[in-house]
Amino acid sequence: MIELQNISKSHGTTTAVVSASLIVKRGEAVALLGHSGSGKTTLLRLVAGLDSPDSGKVRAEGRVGMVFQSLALWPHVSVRDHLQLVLHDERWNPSLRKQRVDEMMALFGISQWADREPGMLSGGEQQRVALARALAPDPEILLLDEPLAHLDAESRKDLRARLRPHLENRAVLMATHEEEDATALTSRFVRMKEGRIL
Amino acid sequence: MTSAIPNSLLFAGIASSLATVFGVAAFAALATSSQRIRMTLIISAIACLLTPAFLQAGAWMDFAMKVGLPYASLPFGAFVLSLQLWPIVTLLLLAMSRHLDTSLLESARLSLTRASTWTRVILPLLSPALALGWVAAFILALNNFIIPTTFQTHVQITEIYVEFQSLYNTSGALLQSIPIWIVSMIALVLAARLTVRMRAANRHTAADSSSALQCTPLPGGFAPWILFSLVLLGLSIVPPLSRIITACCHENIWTSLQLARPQFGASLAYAVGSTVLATSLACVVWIFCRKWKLEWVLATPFILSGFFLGVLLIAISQWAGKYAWWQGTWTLVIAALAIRFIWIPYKAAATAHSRINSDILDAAQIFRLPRSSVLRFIEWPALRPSLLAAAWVVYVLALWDVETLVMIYPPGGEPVSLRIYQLLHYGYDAQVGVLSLGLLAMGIAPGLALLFFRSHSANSVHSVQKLRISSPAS
Repeated sequence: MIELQNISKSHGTTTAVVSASLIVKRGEAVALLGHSGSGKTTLLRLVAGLDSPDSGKVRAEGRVGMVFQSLALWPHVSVRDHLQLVLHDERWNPSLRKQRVDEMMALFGISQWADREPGMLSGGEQQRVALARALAPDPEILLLDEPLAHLDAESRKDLRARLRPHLENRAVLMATHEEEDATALTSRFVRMKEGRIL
Repeated sequence: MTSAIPNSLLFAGIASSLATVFGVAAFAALATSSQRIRMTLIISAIACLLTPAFLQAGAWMDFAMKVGLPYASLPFGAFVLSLQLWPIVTLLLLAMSRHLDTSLLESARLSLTRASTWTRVILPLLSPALALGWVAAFILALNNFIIPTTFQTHVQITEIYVEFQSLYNTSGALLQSIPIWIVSMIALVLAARLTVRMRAANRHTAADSSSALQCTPLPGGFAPWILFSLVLLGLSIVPPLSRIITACCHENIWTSLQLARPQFGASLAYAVGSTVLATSLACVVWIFCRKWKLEWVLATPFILSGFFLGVLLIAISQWAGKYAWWQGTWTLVIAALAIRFIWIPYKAAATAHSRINSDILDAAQIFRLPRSSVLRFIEWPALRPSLLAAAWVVYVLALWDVETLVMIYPPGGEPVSLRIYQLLHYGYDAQVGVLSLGLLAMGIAPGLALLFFRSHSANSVHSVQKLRISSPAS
């Protein structure tokens, strides 16, 4: 579960988030809609614990998985190792880990690039790796920052269909400016403007 | 003794001011030239910076003697040193100029004269880099050992050296070096503040403004500036190189090199040992202590004279008495060089790390990757090329080093650089040329090997990418 209570955050003199409050329960997927610079990414970073709020309280219960807008794939790590590296806690013994890696690669259609590094993949292929990495450790909280931004219309449709069943039983917060993605993947919309939740 | 301190300040002041004037002129030519010319000039400027000081000093001393110039004078020594220091100013200005506000440059170009654009807009915007360049050149000139001792300039460091050689009084030498340390420390604090200002200015504009600067016309046109820069490069590089080439034509190279085999062995051992030690220590310090802001502490032995470091190590050995097992051994030499140059790989690691996309590290934090995995899979691959390049620079500087070793090299362990430095005083011109050639070859070889392996691995990646592109998309 994600709970934000009246949080504010500034970067120097720029105010990024102003008095934002929001609750996302387990099993619920919420879309954060808004233009560039409206504070969506800052809000996701606050939930992930990457930044601390200037005021207010953030509660995020459970493991967090995230797809970054820049994808943030590790440049010198192969696709397979991207998935293996995030399965490091005690839940994953070697055989379970291998099974999970194969399962996620098959789900996102990236098995054939298993030994390639991100620099050798196209933007759309990298996007699939980022999604697979976020879902691989089976996180309770999933944060998606423009998760389908680098894809063409057909791949976008295909990935939406693959992703949808895996959003259940998690608290999902997705930042996007594409209403079509929001409608297909989430059950509730929250609009942001100039750092405020409308 | 105190009369030498004003001379030291005057010497450093003249050398750094000349270096700043030369550096600004070269920067103007570099910034407005095409990409290819710029890269060639930058590489030449770096080569200039890496030219051994003893070679530069020897070549100019020969020239002065041949044309009858009074070489044993403070202004001449300062001029020769400035020929080695100007690239610092140029490179700092180039680094900062990439982050200028493009709109300011364009508006100045539209509404101001060429001279005003440079003197009222560009140089004031670059003032932190300009001041930092002057301060860095001043500290290095104040602590320079080879040029003043070769040109018999009456400055504090030569006075301490002469007295230390005759009396071997370590505490006296350290006491006399205090004024130089204090002035250097004040200058270092100033340099630290200027670095902060430069970084803050760079942060405002992330975009690369090189192309906007390239279109800014120079007062009097491009030709006189590039001509001046070429003459400057010529003065900085040609005399040492021509000296080597001339000497090699008059000397049996192989016989001379074979006779100096023990010295080459010592040089190689010191350089390789100190490179490995400095790079490994820098990695350890960077991994475990990077939050402690140790950069300026590590930079101090590099910026201050190596001669003082040598005296300090002798003082420590004397204090340790019979427990100082390292005194008169190669260990002391390798440790001294590693302490002196540790800042270079540390700085390389810190700079390479600051260039890693922060999202990549954030992703590692989100997925709770163990510290060892972050280091192995994310940080090390990003740091490796810079660390290798830094290790090569340490190796070269350790090969060239004279001042750190002059008082501490073990019996029978004289390196080539010191041999050349001593021969310079007795006028063995041809032998100096041959030994310098051998030393240069020894310094350049690993750099060329690094470049070869780098281009080879880049080609492999390129061919894999070509394969990937030619294979059908799945």
